[in-house]
Amino acid sequence: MRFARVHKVSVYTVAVLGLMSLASGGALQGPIGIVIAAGVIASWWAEGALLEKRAYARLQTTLLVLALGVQFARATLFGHGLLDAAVEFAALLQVSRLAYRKTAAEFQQSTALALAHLIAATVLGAGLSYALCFLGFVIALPWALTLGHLRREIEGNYLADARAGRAGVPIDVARILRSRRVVGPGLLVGSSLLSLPIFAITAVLFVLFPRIGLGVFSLRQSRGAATAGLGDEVDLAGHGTIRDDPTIVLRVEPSNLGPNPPSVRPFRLRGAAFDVYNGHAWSRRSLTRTSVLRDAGEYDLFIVRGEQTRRQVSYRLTLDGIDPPVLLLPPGTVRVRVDPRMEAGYPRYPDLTRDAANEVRYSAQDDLGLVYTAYVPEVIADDLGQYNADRSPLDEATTRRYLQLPAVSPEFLALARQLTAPHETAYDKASAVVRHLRSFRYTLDIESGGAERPVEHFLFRSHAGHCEYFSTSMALLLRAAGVPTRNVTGFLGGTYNRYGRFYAIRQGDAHSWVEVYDQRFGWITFDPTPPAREPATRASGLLSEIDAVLEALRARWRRYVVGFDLSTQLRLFQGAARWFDFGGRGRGAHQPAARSPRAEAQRNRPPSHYAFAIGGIAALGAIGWFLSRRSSLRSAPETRSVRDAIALARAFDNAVAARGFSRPSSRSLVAHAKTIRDAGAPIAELATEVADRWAAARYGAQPLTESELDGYKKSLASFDDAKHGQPPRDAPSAASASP
Amino acid sequence: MTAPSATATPTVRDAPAARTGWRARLSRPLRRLRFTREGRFFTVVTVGVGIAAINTGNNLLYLVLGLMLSLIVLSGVLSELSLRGLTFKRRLPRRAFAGTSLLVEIEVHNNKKWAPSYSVEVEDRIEQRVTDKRCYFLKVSAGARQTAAYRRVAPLRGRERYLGLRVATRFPFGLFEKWREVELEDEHVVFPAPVPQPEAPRARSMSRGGFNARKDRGRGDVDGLRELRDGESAREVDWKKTAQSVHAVIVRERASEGAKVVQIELRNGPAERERPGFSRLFEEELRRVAWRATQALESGAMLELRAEDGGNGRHALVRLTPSNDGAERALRFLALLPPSPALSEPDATTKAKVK
Repeated sequence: MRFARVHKVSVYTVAVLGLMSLASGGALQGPIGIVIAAGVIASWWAEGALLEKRAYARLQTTLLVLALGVQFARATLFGHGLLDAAVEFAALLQVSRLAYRKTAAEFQQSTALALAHLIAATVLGAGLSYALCFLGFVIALPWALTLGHLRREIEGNYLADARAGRAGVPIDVARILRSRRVVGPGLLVGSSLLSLPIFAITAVLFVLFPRIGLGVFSLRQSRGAATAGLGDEVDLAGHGTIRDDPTIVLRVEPSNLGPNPPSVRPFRLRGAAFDVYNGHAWSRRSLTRTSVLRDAGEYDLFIVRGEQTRRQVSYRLTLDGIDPPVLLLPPGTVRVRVDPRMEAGYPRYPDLTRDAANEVRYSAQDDLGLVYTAYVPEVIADDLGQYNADRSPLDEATTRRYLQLPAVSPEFLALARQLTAPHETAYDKASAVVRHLRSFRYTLDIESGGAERPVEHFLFRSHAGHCEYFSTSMALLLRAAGVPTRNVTGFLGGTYNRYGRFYAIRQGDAHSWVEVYDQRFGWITFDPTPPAREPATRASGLLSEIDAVLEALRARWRRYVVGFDLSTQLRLFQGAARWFDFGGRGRGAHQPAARSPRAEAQRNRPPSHYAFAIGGIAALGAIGWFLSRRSSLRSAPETRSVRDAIALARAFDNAVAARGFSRPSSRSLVAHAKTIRDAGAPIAELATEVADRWAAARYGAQPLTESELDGYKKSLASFDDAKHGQPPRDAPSAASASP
Repeated sequence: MTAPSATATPTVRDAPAARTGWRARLSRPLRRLRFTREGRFFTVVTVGVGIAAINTGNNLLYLVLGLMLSLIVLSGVLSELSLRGLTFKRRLPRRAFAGTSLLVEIEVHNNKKWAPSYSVEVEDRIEQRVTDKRCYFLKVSAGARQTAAYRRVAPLRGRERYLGLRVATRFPFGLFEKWREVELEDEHVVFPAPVPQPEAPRARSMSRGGFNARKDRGRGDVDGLRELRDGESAREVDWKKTAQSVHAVIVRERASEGAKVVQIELRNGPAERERPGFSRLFEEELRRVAWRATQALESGAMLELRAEDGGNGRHALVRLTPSNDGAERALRFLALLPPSPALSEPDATTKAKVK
């Protein structure tokens, strides 16, 4: 491939990856994203004569200044975030660079900008898409940097070089850039393979860096995904179209997962609860929140007593950043343990607060979400969570709040009476209403949304709606019958990911149901939405497998990379130490009394791990030494014997040259000695002897001894022509004489 | 002093052998590193990312930091790979004159079996001088040889010693320049550049740098025939006899007493050196004598050069016949005459480099 083409492709790859990393963090959405994408595509063809035009350069500068002004105005006057505006301008700057790339310097600026984008994107988002962009960088960045460097060297060295003068014509840089010989498959494959050591070194450094996290200044944004039904108000006509949104909100790993988990296992996860309905929307009367007490990472939501509540089922939940930051919990949760973040070497736990309806929220610092474990007493544990742990009696004021009704028709009241009158307990009344509503049809079409009283339209006309209509109708019917109820939103669903061994809860699993207060059981969960409302069916086949793999990767990325902290690091090091048996031995030494037979056996075990580790290191060292030695032997230019032979040849050259027999470079010592002998020079005999000895040392594997070399050197230096006869008649004479 | 040989020998030298053994490895000069402009920028950004990562605890920043550091580490490894396994040869020109441009060729041989070397820059090191000229090799394939050349101007006459090479690379990312010194000694003699003189040689009149010219009886009679010797002028070839001979080129040998003999004596003794401006004047005179000497030899005259050989009061003498390399021998004799120009005149190249 042509050098210039490969270089261009590599720089564009890196530039696009940089822009994608920004986009993965939620920046560059909407029209600005389209403008940037179009700009990058158009810039591909901006080269050659176009770049030489002064008008084009002026247009570039003008547009860039204009963009800076617009972004500044958006940030200061129109309430656009300063960070967003800066990020968008950085992206526009990249487009500008790509559209005006004449020399290696511009290409390098593009690469540097792409790297800056990758760095900036770290504060914007932390999703799997960033991971993919990062992986792309690991592969493409060495290409771009290597080729950029070579191009710079080409441009710098082939303009006014001595070679040019020798050849008589200046070397054309463009010709080299068009050459297919500089960048062969070897360089491309080699620089691609560089991604392996880069990845390995990056991984090692990533694990080894101590996670301190001083937290002095952070730009990280709290930008969780807006989640339906968890806000301060739920409008019946406002949503219902997120059913097909596959975005994962939560991953559930129940302790009772079992060896063959079913592919679909619906989990009910409670989010927000609402007590006031105004005829169209639910809201809360009291927004007062109280802190949940924490004890070393554990938060007790409800104090439960009794032997039967000690056995608990746990659900490990990995919550992505959502807005508002509501803690999604299985009904019946009595205790929550939160995985802390390490800051400045200390664990930092979020503050949990809850309102009167037991909606729990956490203090979100960023959009990274939360990892926590919910504990449910085994006696009430149920994935669908009918029983609630909140069994506190209702006072009169609270009861009134949960009996609040909007203006309803007599027909509505009559239906409520008709359904509930035959039953005495709240539980039975609620069950009757559920039975009635289960005969209705579940639909995502908001057929009753435009009606003046959507609930009554749903109950008496359409008989079809989504979960909000079912839950609202049930809550109001029971309230009309004097049963305290509240509308609850959260999630119901769970599809198993066999690659990640978790159940995924998606945005499309958002759901609404009712909590009914019963004197005997406290708050009980009832879900009037008909069973037709199954968890959203997922595509099957290869695509779904790929999707599952991506989801598992996303979970691992989140857990092992984004969520990697000092505690994880310490656990990792402790695990490594245990592997080498350091920790076990240390503990055993300090606790001899408590040592079990198994620990004793372990203690007396031959140190195979040590032997293995030391043997491995020794083997690696030996391989390294062998390769290094081989390399040095191969690359060693000369041995000592060759050096001595060269020294002898120099002495020979000097001696004979002083007598007018300079040796041409093309003639060997032996041949030259013959020439001198033919000329009859007095030094001929010595020259022949030295030449023969030189040949034996240089090529005959008969190295010169030190004394031998010194002797020859002295003989050559002190050779006196006068003692050995007159020089030939035509040879020049050279002599020194005193005045 | 032994009178200098009058031939500038083109020399080809391999790099001297690297010492082997662990002691030698320890004592071997290490590679040296220097930040490039891009490297400084990259390092500053890396440090900034590191500080930001430690401050915020943002794992993605740690990841980027790891990437940047791994690029730095790999840069060191690959630049080492690029510099390893290279051997060099230098080819000096047959004739070099002070003040005029000369072409020095550098040949690099990549001894590696599979890895090419990219972006290798070679700079010559000359004794007491630094050449600012470099040879650049974009790619030297595995097992291949490449030659590049640079032009330089030898500022002064005399013996020039090339000490070695500075072999550098900024490969692969241009972040750092790594270099090593390669010992590659060479020597050649820079002749004084002859200055054409309009007047004919004069007899015994020089006060400083003069000559004697003795015109005898033409070129002499043919004394006999013999084979042409190496380096001898073809002027006296007897083509007829040569055609008759199967293996040899036959020349006519003339009686030496019949040849014109030009004697030139340069006065550079201690007394002359005391005179103000001697060095400059002597150098100028040398250049003029160089022209006259070469002219005399070209005209077929015998040449006898005589000069004071430094402070020991001895004289150096060279007698030259008008053979092919006679002029070179004369120039070499003149080039090596004391006083050395390096002692009396500053080196312009060195000054420029220091600036």
